[in-house]
Amino acid sequence: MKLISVSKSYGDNVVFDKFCLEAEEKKILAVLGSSGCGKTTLLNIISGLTDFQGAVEKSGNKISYIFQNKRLLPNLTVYKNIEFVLKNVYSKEKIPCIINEILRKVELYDSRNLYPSELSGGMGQRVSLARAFAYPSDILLMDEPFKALDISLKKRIIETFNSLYRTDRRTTVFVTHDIEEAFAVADRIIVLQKGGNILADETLSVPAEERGYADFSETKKRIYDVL
Amino acid sequence: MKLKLKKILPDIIYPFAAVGIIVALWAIFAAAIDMELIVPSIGSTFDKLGNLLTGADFYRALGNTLLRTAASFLTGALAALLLSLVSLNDSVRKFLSPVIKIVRSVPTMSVILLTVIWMKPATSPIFVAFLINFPIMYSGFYSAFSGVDKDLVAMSKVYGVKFKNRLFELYLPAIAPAAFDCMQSSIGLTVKIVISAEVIAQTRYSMGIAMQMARGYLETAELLAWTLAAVVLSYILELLIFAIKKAFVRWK
Repeated sequence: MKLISVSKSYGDNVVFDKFCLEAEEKKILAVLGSSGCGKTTLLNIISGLTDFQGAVEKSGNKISYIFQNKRLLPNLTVYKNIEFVLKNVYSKEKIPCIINEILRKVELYDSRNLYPSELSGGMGQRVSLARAFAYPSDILLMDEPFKALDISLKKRIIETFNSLYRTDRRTTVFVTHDIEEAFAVADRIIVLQKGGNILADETLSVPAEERGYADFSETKKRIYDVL
Repeated sequence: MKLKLKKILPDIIYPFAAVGIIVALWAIFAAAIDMELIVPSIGSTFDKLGNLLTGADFYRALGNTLLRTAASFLTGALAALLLSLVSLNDSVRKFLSPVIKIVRSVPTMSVILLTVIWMKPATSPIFVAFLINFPIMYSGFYSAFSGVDKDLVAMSKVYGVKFKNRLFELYLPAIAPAAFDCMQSSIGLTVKIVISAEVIAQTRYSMGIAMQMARGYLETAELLAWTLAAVVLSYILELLIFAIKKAFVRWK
């Protein structure tokens, strides 16, 4: 996926000025940066939720998006929330298998008939993960999906994410302000500055699933230095 | 159990207390004035109501008024739903805005008098009530549609959800609680307007004309009996809408 000479402003506020970026196929690109540097705008440009100048070249048009807030329909059960996004892409017969399988993977099969108001924060975010992976997207966008979670819950959700990703790789752009989250899942990390300057660009040699407690202290130091 | 009872009791006690006060005031006024022609007693009013309930004419009038109410209310609700939905488009909303304002501000009596000239007595009450209830429901539905969570709409667009699915699973359920509340308050008004229009249009076999005849014959007790019937009709229709809301809005 390529962003070619992308420009975006909100009034006088220039967020991107002829910004270029390439994300590798089936790899996770983490975008770090301070608040207001345009991380969410970047995802909205890729997903087509905002207008912009320039071009985005994608290998496919189907996009999954894991938002910071869960964005689940309050009137639909967990099962129906996932079904809501699948109706357009799978046949009626195929949908139940896909949903049940993904719900088992995220350990929510027994909660499939609950409404979002009956879910805890972590369960809601796992539904959001399940929805994104059940949808056959070419690109996965993640906007600080672990932000509102406490440390232990965050660890479990990241583990769930990594296990889903291991079996179903997609070109992923993961926006976060948390360097540890980026190191927990990403293959490549960039540090973005307002206007579209890339302050650091680091590729992690060890895949996330094999990373364990691998020491990236040198890489981390370089990133901390520019933050 | 005790806690549940404590929670439910006010829901029963207060409405009964309010009705009790109205009935008591009615009894006091009737006794103080002591003229059946001006304020009939509770007993004579309920006697008249009992008489009405045993005659076929009552059910014929009630049925006709109910049908007119239903026709006016359902067309009003459907038109309000469709137009409030298309009003999400800014150009459509700007185009419709003056029309809705005009319809809303035209005096009810002018509408009734004009439609009596233009339409048949049986259909003019339907049209009049439509013109009154439609702008109210349109405003209610439109503000409910505008309040639909923009984040959910954006999510559904990213996932390429078809408009039909968005409409039935996102928009309509999202507006349902507010829309049902708006319909619940509109139905009583619709009953009132239909009856008023029936009186002026001299609609045969209707509750309106029955009230007009009772007034003409100075049968005040019968007029009050018909009024009670109209109040009960409104209440039942409100309860019906509330029941539909409860069945539909299960997730709350």
